Amino acid sequence: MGVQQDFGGFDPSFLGVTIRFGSDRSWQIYENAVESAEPLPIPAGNSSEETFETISITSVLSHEVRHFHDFFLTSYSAYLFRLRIQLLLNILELLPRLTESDGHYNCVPIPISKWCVLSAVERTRQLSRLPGRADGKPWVAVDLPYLDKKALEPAPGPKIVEDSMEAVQNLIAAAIRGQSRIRDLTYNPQTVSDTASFQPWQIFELSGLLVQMQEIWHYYGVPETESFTNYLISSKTPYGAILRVAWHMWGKTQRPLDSGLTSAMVTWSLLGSYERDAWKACPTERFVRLWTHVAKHGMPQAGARFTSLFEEWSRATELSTIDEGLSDALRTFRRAHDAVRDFAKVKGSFSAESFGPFLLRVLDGVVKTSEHMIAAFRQNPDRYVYPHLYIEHISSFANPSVRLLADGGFIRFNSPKKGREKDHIVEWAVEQGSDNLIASMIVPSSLSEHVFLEAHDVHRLSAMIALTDFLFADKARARADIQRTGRVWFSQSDLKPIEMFW
Amino acid sequence: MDVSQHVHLKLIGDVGFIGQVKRFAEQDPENLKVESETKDDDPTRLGFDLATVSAVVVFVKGTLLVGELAAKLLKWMRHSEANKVVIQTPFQTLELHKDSGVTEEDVRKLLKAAMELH
Repeated sequence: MGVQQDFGGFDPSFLGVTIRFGSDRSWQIYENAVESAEPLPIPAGNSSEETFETISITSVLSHEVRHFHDFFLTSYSAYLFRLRIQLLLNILELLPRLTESDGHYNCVPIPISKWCVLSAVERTRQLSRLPGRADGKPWVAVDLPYLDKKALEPAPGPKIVEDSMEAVQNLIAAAIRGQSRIRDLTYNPQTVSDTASFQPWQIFELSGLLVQMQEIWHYYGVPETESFTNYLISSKTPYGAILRVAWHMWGKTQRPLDSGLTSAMVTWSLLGSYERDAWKACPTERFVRLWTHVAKHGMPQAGARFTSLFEEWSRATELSTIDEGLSDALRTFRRAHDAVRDFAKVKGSFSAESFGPFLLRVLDGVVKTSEHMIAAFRQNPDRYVYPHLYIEHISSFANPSVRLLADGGFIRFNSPKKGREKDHIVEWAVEQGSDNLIASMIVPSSLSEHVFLEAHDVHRLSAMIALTDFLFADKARARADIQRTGRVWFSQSDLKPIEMFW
Repeated sequence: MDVSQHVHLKLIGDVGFIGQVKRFAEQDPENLKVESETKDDDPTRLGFDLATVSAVVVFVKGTLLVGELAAKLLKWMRHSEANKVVIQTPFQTLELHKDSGVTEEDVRKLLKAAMELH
């Protein structure tokens, strides 16, 4: 029996917490843990894998909630979110063209970002590689412009919104540039070697892991925390790799890992300002520079004041302060809000009228969540940085919606009623006899009273962003939830979305 | 039901799984050909629990028995280190999870549907 090793995976398009289940067994363990007032017992005969699985499931929520909170504090996440929103606005303008066939076209080749840079000859060749059509007619792709390098350069002047091929070209070019900038933000080529790649998501994972380890210590105790940590360090999972980096770092100082100080280093690395430092604000860049500094000057003593340390580290590395990073994050979330406000005002646009008011409501919630998180952080940084204080004071931070996702299958409920409870939002499900087989469901959480985003809105925005990934993303598009969303959207259209491989 | 003579698939999985696909292609180059390969070092985006996964685009000829390929894909997935593999056809995407109870019949249906005329 294989056990599931990864239950999370923060998805920035879902503004909440996502927990993934690879089997009925892991779902049952989670459900039992949620309903139990006592720590879930770990059977004595369990293998180390099974023990790891149980401990992981019972503590994964704290890990994922930390990602949710980090998201609203960091300019890195704010820039990514703003790019995603800009991408969404461009694609909403394009949608009518992508879903109406005019009786002539019969397919939409995806990802569009790759299709549009192909020449006419290459497009014909790609379509000829497809299995034939039952009606004997050829595949005819919807008319999309060819974009050369020049067309992909940023265009000066206001966005054109009238229905012309030039407008379509501008919108697609903007969408491709947006995808490219998302890649630039999330992938740092400076921290890649022949054998390893050190990327921003790993710093975010270390932030989540430190909180999760604290939660396990709090929920179970020292032996279980050691069991979890040892298993992870020796595993090939992405989390094992980043934990090994932290272990190695402390090993060089000949001191045991101090979770408070490690968390301080991670927090400082995450909270740079892109406005001030540009690419040097990348979390991995900051982490590497900070490590170089502490390796040379020694690790601070336990109990040092974090606010002083943060200032010292910014001075020593000549990088932005945490305060500058927090201000940049909020400004960037507000700019995303302003872009949506301008979009909603466009007269005569079907997309603006259909989606503008909804998007404006969600972006308002995003800005309020960021404002609340930043105010809470500034009021008492220790409560955010120290993992044990973070868990103790979690009710002072923003409350997320929780999405339960069945990876590649369905969560099977023993009671059909359970999946239909009033406050649950079932995103995808099928009924089989008396069973509700649920692929994705959002459930309420009550970690705090600070709620700025409604679960229904979070769900709807996530579906819209999933559609942009379905149409434009290169790699993330293979995810089951993105495929489901995209294919359901096109089920209303005469055009068939077709994956192009090369 | 009419079927096509060929189909392109994209297979995403750990190094071991992709290695098996490549070995099989070497043994039967007439029916299965690897056309391209890419590596992804952020597979968490796709829900993988390993640090690196690969993706290959393969060309499958209609003469290759779908049932044979389905059985092999499932077997290679069960022996791989990752929690899952992803199979993409031009019209569908299927995730095979070790614990989600996907059967050979499910994979066979997916491959057959990919080769049917649309």
